[in-house]
Amino acid sequence: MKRWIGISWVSTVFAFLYGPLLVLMVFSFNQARYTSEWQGFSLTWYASLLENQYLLDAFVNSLTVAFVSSLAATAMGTLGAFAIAWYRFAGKKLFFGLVYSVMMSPDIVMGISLLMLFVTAGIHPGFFTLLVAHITFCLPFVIVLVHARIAGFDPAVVDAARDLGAREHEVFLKIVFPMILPAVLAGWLLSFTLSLDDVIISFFVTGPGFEILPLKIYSMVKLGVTPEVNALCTILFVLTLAAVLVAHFLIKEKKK
Amino acid sequence: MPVVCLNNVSKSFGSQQVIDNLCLDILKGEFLTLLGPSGCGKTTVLRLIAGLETCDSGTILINGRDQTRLPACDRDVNTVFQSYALFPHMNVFDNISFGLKLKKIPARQIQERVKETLALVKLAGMDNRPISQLSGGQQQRVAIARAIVNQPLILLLDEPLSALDYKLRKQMRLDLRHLHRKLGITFVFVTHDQEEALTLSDRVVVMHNGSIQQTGTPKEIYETPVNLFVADFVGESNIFDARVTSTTGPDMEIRIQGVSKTVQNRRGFKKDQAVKVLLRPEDMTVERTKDQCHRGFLPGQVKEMIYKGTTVDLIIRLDNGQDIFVTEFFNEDDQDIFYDVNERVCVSWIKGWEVTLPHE
Repeated sequence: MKRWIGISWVSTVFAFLYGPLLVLMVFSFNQARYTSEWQGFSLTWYASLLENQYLLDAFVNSLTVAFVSSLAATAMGTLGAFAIAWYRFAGKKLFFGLVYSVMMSPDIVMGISLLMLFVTAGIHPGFFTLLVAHITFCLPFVIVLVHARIAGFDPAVVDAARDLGAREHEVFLKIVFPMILPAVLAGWLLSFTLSLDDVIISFFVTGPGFEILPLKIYSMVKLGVTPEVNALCTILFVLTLAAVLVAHFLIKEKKK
Repeated sequence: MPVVCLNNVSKSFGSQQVIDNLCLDILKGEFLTLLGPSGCGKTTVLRLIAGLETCDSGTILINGRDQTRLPACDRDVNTVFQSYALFPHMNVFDNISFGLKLKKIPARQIQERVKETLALVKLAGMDNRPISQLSGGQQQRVAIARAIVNQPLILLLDEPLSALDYKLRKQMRLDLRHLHRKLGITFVFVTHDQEEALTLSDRVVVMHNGSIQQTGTPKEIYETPVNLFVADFVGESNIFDARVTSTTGPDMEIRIQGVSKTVQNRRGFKKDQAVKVLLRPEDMTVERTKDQCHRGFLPGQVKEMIYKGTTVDLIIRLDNGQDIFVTEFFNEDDQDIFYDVNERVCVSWIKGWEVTLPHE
């Protein structure tokens, strides 16, 4: 009895989470143009996506921004995490608190404030502003993730490595880096997905000359949900899923 | 020639002086223990020898060469850390071979040496175990193996037994002694546990507030402490205030708790000088009494009797109000060492078993 309650509870949760996604994915293969009625399997919409140069450009732009900003955020965030974990400096607590507040602040507030910053500084919105904005909102996640990892390991292992004859760079390469790698990878992946699907902040800071996919989809949806959008979302979902699986695999491999 | 010489070494962390002008010679092949309460600077001494800290002033000679400024990675010294500090992302073999690989020793030799060392610490065949799957005692052995596989000149051990349970700790103590004899290298051991210090060491260095209080064999430390701190920290002590009333040759007469007693005068005390008399619980004798005590016996009353299997511990309140601690051993001649609470007793000791120190 108890078991059945458990199973039905779990399936309800999963249905709730993945049901909408499933509907979207199924309808991306629907032949019908406007109705939400099933009219037979077809790959038409995927084919038409490939011919849509605007969408492809936006997609490439999105990937570029996500890749560069997540890499930059990971590098900077990892260094920041070390600074907080290992060094003493004035205002350290305040700094860490500010990191959290950036993470918590509503996207709309961040979007508007970044926009005002760029306007005040006289920078034209475009790739650069988008990149800076994405790095900014990804950075706290990396810092928090990597910091938790560094704080979680015994600092004496660094002494132990030095004691056994390791020089500074060897301590880092052989001990510290492998130990924090899972958190760095997780931070990088999280940043990548955060950047890839951000709408609100990007809406404020990008310019007309540089379109990215989420914003493109957003404007397409204004005219109604087309099967083309369904197909696009399916591709995005599969991509994200693949990234998660790859990272999971990488982390597991390291643990062995 | 000593293998390590610390000459006038001082070290501060911020405004706090941790090591104060410390001098210490460590002899080749000895088992030396740094003993002291937490915060006395014993771990800092160890880290200075390892090169994990640099001293503010003074010099450190290792094997006759000045290595005061030499970084940890270039010193022929290895450490077993209190938390073990094993590398969690490596297995047993990779942990132990870490130092050898850095020294670019051929893989075959590494294999052999790791295997030998694992056998030495009774972990043969555990090469491929991940660290997370080892018990506390096994991790401890890996930490020791990781240090000794490098065949260092000196092995430093920073409270390595403190995280183990009582039984395992006793076993590891024996194993450490055995290992020391077998390897023949110098062991420098840090602990706050006086029992560990006394049972393991060739020499004990008692530290307090960043300086050395006394250096000597366990027997010297226990039987002839040079000051009240050492007497109090190492073992149990009963401490009495007394005054010298007269001196005659090697002996002197003291007034203690209103009673006259003849004791040895080893330090040239003068008449009327105030002294402290220290007595170990097991050095005191107790007698029952119906009325008055004999000369040289202190009168008191049993407050508590604690049966401990091999001994009986008594807490006795002397007539002037001081509580003392006495240990009585079972022996064939005197089966009757059980006392009633509130029973009247007389307490004394054999002349010469006391330690007399100047009043501090």
